[in-house]
Amino acid sequence: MKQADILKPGLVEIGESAEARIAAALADSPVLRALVTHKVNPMRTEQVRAEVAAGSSLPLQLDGELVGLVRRDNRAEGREDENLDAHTLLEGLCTKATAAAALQWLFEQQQIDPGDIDYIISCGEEAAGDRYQRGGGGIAKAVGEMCGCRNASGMDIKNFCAAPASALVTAGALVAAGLYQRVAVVAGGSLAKLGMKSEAFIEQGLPIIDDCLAADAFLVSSDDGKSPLLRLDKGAIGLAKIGASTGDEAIYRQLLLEPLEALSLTMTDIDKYAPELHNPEIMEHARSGDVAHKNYRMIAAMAVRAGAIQKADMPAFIERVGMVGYAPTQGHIPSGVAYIGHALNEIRGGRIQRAMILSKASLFLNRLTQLYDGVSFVLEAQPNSELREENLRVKK
Amino acid sequence: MLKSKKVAVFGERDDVAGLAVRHCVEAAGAEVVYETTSCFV
Amino acid sequence: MLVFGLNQIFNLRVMATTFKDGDPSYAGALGGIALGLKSYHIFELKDEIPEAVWEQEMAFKELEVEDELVEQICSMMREIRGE
Repeated sequence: MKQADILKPGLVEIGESAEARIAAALADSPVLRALVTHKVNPMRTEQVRAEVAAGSSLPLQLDGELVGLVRRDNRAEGREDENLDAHTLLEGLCTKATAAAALQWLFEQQQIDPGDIDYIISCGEEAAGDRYQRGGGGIAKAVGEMCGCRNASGMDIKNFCAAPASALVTAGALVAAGLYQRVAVVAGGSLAKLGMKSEAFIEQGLPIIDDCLAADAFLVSSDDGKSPLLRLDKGAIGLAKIGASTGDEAIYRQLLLEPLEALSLTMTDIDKYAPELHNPEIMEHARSGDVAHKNYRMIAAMAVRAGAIQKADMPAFIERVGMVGYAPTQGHIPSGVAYIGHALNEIRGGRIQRAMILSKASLFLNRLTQLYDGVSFVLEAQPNSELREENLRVKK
Repeated sequence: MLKSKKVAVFGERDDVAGLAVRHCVEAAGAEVVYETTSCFV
Repeated sequence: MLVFGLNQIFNLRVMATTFKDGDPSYAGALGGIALGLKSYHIFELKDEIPEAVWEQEMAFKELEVEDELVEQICSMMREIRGE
């Protein structure tokens, strides 16, 4: 977070007792060390303690020890703006730092030169800005700047938990249109949702297990002849239209059946569906229900309505195309896209041919509409892959 | 049974949304005076 | 009256009991205050809703939610109402 902090005076201070330890840990990390671009001048521990005690700055602790602080923007233009208090800026710094870590991880893993990225789309849960534009944006370029993407521009896409799906579709469209060749899609972690479900765990003295900030990064590029394909044919993207009825059936028809019809596929042609994959160990214990399972029931109900399966076959269908949720309660991360890395491995390994990513978004939380949204798309094996040939032969 | 009743509605997005419940009870003649839809995620 | 669309047994019981007898944990604003309000789950009201509206808003939900869960919810709501 200190490396993500670009203000003078800074927003984050690291205490002298911890600075060397943190610097050594960063230097040891093959991913994070690339993000260390400026030297940190540590603050005296008494000073850290005194500023936190004075009230407006928040303490940063490591294993219970005070190791630093986060402060508000104390410059003249920021002093009276509630959007620039320590808490709000900490949320922004957390999302920027974790998104940068995820993007840097992608660069390391895939041996990508950051200078080769043309465009970046940020789709995390946070919106950054000041009182005149509190959701202004700019997170994508802030993350790209931190990761050395010198040739890229970028923008932020907001769509609640479906923002990553919307961003991936947008990235695919930008590439397919020939505007850009390599678009990075990043989503930083949500501090507000860290420990979102902790209440029941605290009540019962159990360890809190939604205990991480989760971030993701994807590269969408023009067809390399090897990587799985994002289907962008006309009608292939599932949408929840404004005019759809409030009943789930109308919405799921648009999210599942219509895009599959556009691709000349049926519901049983999809090997894995990835809806909201929240970890049920967290959700059920917090009395929120197994959200992943509920989503699979909706998918299976749609398959019954479409005549693809019988009602009695719903559990077996779910067993085949579903999975147990495993993602932390970080909103945008579990919403379908948590499975994409696994889907790519499964498709490349020939174990599945197609996966459908199905995101949902509670737009009504903005208090401006009663709608909720959904976005779906299909990832598919390359047409020349052996498995696909095999399947086509079987079908013929 | 619902005719002219004042009703408070508590929905949940992944169960039955408040709006769907409202459409049902209003069609049966009730007046919805409070409606909320939780989102647990 | 209260009409619920949420299907979590535990939350339903707490809320329906609170609106009838007061907050069982004595923690919230209704601690010790019995409003005597009756709670129903929308699944119980099928016969009261015009068929076309039910078909549009609820029929898919009936298919989606396990029959056993619907039965469990309905019998618990009856029990809380003292029927």
